[in-house]
Amino acid sequence: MKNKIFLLILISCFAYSVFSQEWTVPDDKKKLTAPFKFDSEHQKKGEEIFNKTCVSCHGHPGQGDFAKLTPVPKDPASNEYQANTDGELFFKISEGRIIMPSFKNTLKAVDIWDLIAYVRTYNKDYVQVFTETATETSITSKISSKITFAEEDKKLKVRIINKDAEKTASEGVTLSIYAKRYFGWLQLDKTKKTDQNGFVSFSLPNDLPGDSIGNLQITLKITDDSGFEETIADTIFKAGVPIIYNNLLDNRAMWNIRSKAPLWLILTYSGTVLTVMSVILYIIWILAQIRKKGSSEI
Amino acid sequence: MEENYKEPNKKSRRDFLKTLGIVGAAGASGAMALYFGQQYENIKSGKKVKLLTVDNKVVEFEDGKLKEYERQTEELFIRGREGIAGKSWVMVIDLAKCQNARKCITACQSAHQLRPEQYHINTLTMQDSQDTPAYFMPKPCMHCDNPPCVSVCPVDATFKRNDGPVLMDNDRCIGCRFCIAACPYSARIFHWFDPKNAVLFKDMPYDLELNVPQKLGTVTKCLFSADRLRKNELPYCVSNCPNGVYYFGDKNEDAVTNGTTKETVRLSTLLKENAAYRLMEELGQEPRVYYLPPKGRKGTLPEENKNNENHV
Repeated sequence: MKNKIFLLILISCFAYSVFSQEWTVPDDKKKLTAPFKFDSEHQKKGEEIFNKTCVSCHGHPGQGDFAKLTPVPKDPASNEYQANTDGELFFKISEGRIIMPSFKNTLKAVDIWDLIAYVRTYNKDYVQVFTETATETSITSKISSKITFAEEDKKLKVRIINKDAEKTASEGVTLSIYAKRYFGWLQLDKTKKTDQNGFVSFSLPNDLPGDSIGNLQITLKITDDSGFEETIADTIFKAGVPIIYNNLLDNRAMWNIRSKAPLWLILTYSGTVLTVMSVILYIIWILAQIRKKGSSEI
Repeated sequence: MEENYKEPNKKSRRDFLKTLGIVGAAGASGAMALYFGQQYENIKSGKKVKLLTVDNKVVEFEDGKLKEYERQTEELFIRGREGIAGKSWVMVIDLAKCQNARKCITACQSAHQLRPEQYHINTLTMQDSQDTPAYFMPKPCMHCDNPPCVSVCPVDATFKRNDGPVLMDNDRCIGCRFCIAACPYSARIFHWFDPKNAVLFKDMPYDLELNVPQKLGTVTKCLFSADRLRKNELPYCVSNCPNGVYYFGDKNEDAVTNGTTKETVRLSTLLKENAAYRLMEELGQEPRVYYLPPKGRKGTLPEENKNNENHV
């Protein structure tokens, strides 16, 4: 019996290690569908994006000219690739894995859907399942947000309310917060969903440098069911620690400018020069003395 | 003798008249330009634009009187020496991700007008022992905080900035190559031959932060793309990498951004979680480039990927 249990554990471990090679997509992401029909316009845009960002590794679909990397980049025309649902493709493109880069920051959701529209042209049996939503009406026009920041425990509380007549709380809205950095946005805490009262709470790190007085520019972003992201608030909170920096050139160092040379160097150098100069002056003075003595005797 | 004196005089008088004619024509066209300029201005009158001057003052101008101004070398020198206040640039290179695509190298070479055999950054094939698989290691200048190359420069041509990078002033460089001898990372190269497209770019104003046009008989090196940082853009090598190898950012802000995925992460966490190290740290030069170990290597690398400079 014990042996059997052991064997079972061993098998399950083995199975896990095998399956971990697979690219698992969360169930709720698998069902994601595009918010528009894949027409020729989207396919054309997708082709442009594909040629710019994907060809270098995945090659041209159906040509088999993909790069020889581990794991091997899949040919978009292959059956294995096309077996992915639209949601799976969206997740894989936006998140990336091992050497496949994540594209969620470089491509907009609409670009990724365009890409999927393009690669689906290599699958004759593909029938698109989609729920058309009016993309012109933005998410921000439907909801309103209220943000409060508690400085003592570094908690940022957000409440999302629908902009309808009853002002009901908006449940299950996906939110994430970011702090502005010089080259991009740094995500603070995880992406969270609002509870039944429309509340969500983010905890901010204690040691994140802000500006000279500790101010942080914080952006609240909302993601809809099709992966479309929108900024709903962009505010400044005193949530960071005041930035501390020392100017490198203020320190005395060998590599610094002349006035900032190390003291020992200045002292040794000027001491040596002074000594040599005074010896020379002393000799000149003695020579002058000798000359004076000689001339007075004549 | 008198004849000799008269000859140039006669010529100069003729020349004078000629010049007068040219000046007259130029004057007429200038007046016309002024007239039309005035007309144009009248249309747009009342519109004012705010501008930031070189010495950081905001001034107001009438819109029509504005003319685009090409930066002069002197200003480029001043801002190149000063750097960007409050910043402290660092680079993180994830060796696990480098596939030797060499896009960083070509982007750098085209930006800095370098020949294909001249490298500000290069990817080397490394093998730590016979029993371990090889990996690729991009090697730019380490922009040390205690740079021996700057210490040995006799003419203050190479210098350290407040925001971190070690830059080169090719107008001051006398080509003694002391810095090349002093650098333990072999990050510097010398222009033994005419730089690439030397004739094409000879009239271009010299930009300290871009180090172009390159000059024969001087030393050139990686600059952390100081010109791009000023424009809020990632360095050439970082933004051109297709594999997400490079992270670049401000140490004071404790954040670095990946050049490929544009994902921003905390520098301290990234370094701690990945057991980051710096090259030849024991020399005490405080390099500004961090390496993340080449974990997850699978077997030896394909032969075709190996470049000539193997460090096996």
